[in-house]
Amino acid sequence: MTTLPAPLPTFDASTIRKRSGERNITLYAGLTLFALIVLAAVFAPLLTSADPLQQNLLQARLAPGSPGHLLGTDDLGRDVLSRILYGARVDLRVGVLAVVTPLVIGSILGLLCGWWGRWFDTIVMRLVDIVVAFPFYVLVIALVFALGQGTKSIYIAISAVGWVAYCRIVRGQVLVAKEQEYALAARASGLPTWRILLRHLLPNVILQAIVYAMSDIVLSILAIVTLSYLGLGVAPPSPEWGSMIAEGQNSLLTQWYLATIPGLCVVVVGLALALIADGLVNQFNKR
Amino acid sequence: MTAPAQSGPAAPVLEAVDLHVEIPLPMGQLKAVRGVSLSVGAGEAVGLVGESGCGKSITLRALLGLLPVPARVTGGALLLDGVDVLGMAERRRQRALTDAISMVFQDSLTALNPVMRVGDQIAEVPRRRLGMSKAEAHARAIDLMDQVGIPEPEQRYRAYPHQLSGGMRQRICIAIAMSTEPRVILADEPTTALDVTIQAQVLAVIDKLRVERELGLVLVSHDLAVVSQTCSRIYVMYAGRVVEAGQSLPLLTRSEHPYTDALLRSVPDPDATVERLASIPGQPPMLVDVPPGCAFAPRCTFARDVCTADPNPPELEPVSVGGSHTTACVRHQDIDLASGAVSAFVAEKEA
Amino acid sequence: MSSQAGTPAQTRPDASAGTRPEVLGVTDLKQYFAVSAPWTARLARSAPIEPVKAVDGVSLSLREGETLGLVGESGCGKSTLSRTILGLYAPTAGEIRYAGTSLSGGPSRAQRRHVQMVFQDPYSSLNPRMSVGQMLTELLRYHKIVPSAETGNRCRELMDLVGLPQQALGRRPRQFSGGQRQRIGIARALALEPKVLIADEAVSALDVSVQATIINLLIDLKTELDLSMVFVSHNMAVVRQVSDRVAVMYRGRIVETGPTDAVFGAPSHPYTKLLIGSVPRMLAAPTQTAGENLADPLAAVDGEPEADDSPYSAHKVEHGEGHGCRFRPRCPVAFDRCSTEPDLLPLPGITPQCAACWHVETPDGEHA
Repeated sequence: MTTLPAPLPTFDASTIRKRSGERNITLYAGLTLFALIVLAAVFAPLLTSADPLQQNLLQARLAPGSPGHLLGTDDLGRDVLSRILYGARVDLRVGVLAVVTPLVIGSILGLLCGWWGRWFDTIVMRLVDIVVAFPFYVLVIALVFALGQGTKSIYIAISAVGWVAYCRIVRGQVLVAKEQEYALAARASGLPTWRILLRHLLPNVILQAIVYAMSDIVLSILAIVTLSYLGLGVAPPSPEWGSMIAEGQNSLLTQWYLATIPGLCVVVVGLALALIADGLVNQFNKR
Repeated sequence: MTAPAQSGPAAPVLEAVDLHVEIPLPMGQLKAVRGVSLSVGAGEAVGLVGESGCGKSITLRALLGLLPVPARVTGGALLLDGVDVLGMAERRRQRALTDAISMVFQDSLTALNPVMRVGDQIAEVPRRRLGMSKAEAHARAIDLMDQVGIPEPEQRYRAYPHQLSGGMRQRICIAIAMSTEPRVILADEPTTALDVTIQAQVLAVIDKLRVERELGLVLVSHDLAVVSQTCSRIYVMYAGRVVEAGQSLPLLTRSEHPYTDALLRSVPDPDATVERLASIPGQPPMLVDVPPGCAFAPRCTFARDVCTADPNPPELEPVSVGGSHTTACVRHQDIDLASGAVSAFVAEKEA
Repeated sequence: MSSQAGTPAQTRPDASAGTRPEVLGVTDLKQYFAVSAPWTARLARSAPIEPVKAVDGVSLSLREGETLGLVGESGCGKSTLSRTILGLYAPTAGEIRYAGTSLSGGPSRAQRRHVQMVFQDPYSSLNPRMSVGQMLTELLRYHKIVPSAETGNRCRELMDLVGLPQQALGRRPRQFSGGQRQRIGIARALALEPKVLIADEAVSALDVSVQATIINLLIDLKTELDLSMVFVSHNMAVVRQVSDRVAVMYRGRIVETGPTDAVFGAPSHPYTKLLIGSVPRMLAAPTQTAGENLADPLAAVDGEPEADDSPYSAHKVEHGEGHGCRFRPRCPVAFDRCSTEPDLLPLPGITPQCAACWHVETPDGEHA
């Protein structure tokens, strides 16, 4: 009689996790770490009195731990700590914004592609194919070059390229979800299409896109780093991790920390976001 | 009228004694199998019946040493020809078990490799493990396909699983199971995914092989009718334990455990309409905190204090002195299940 | 089994529903699915690919208060038929009527309420991200079934109706067992106060003991709310318990229809005979009643339809219009007339039983 292998009720991982009252440590750890980074960026003026732009050639290339310069100074005698803190403002803003925009655009397009199909899907998917056919950096660099240097150009360039990933992820999930019986039930009960899409499908398909977005933030920070390295990023002298790495690389053998410290910052941000992503998966599966 | 009755099977080929399987979970040990003893002799067909979550599939997988990862056998013995294999080193045990036992699964589509020709999948074991030449293994595969009733085996040798119907695919799975020349076949819901018009044919194939090759068969199913047709002995499982065991006919016509009785009553009859179907209220217990005493007591209409007085679950005891029909109901002598509708309808059919 | 078969009117008081008006009907309904060709091929206008004819000319009528059992094996088109009736697919051809009104295009918002479905899979038929209360409230609000202030009360009434505690409203589907989820699915369907309930394999995924409770619940609700029901299932025994009338489907067409006890007691179409005979009976030999061609299960090909794209498919050349009866490749009593496809033909006698088999007109010969 049973054609479906009914899951054994006794093995239902969700009930078990629920009953054991396990806290989502991963999620909280990630959120705490990320919150600390954001707070440090927001309250940078309180954490350091040094001006990130203030040059002082007399105090150039101080090692970390020097009095008044906790993380030392760079080639031009600027305080590394304050540059890191102020740089975080730029990098986090660009990183997050350059992901939120493509996440929204890509998810909406993916939702519609998966739901409507037909000519709309064909056109959007061919567009996706075209964007994907170019290497990521080639397209981003070309766009930034065309739009001119600056953070605004970076947003636009990364968004214009980044949406394809979200579009594909969400479209694939919608194709599966729309044939699930709960979606059929929603259609059969006569709910309007927008409501089915937003209330019934989106919450069930968006998780993967959000998880991908977490790693994508790191990727877009790295993109800024790369662009800065190529001289297409944030205009000097404003502090930014990418340009700090690029500048520090010249003296990697003598002052290794100049490139390493901003690099570590990128790693820590990446770690925080990865923890959040893992935690979100756990959190969603728990419910 | 039923499957050929075996007259007192000789020493069992495969025997599980007081088998325990536990699955470690964050909330505690899930006691999936709580002391199951069963045996199957050469040429004998036994059925393992119960509803989802009762531990029948886990028991079957424990018999083959194929438990899903966190689960492990925590007690009891597994005897192959009277020798306990659980004490052996792991590689030796796996070898001994897989040489003697084969398994047929429910879903033939996922049990087969989708990108490999079905014939090659049958020939694989004879070629790799029995050391046959390519031509010999090919001939062996064709022979096996013929034996499981696949028409034009040479042609179908080259087919891929998705090109065959469900019934044909399940026959291929049976042929693969036979390719190791096993002595026992474990079949986990082998016909559940098949259409009803095909089910009887696949069961007949398994049964034919059992008789011809003196195979032991352990058939796991939720469908009492299917088991009753194929098996001479039946074990009924509930909440990780065998609650009733015995020859098919007495067990199904004069069940001595309220659970078996309730299960039989809730099966709809294709040949008659009843006013109202019987159902079992409540749900099986979570196997992490198993209630004391009889696990069925909370749902049982005949339950009294005595059922849960002893914290240990009731053991199987013979219904009559020296008989092979056993029940784990402590009140089986006080309650009268024989007046139930099941006996009535079977009696009507027998007449 | 013959005792019931002879007296359908006594065991089936509802059989008198034949005098009540029709609530749901379809005429010559066809549902074909185009096999998707790559868009490049469509541009190149290569030869069209033969569509899958999931439903191929079905006519049905459901009267008020009646339960129609729709049986058939996997792939026979019963699920597609019920989903087309529900308005999930636009039919390729044919007419669907709700309470005598023909549906042109998709059903309107008001018409949606008329027919509702209970789905098969208790694990995928409920939105995992919505609580039971949210699910029901949404429907009640959107369709303005009760005044806003009454929504909470109505939700609690629905829980009572399907036998769930009111606390269930605050929980998500994951926290329920399979049987409880089917109850929630029933509550969701009933929230719209439909006239017709389609149960699409609604108990197939459940254990027998739970299956019985859900069947009993459906029967009770049908009486209590004066519903009509289409009960779709592959399980003959379950259909027998629930239905007043049955329709047997095979490869997209109805091959036999009639009062339940008549069809089960005296099946007329060879496929119905095979289907009913194949149901495993307690303690019976497996092949005892499995049909003439199955006397030796190893002698004959099982005749199960293989995938149409399979090179081994017996149906590949025979399937479709102009190729005769679709059961012919498996039929033990096929004869020359079977090269044209029969329509449903009424059986002689007073019971309204019909079979799509030429032997109905020529009852002599080996089929008598």
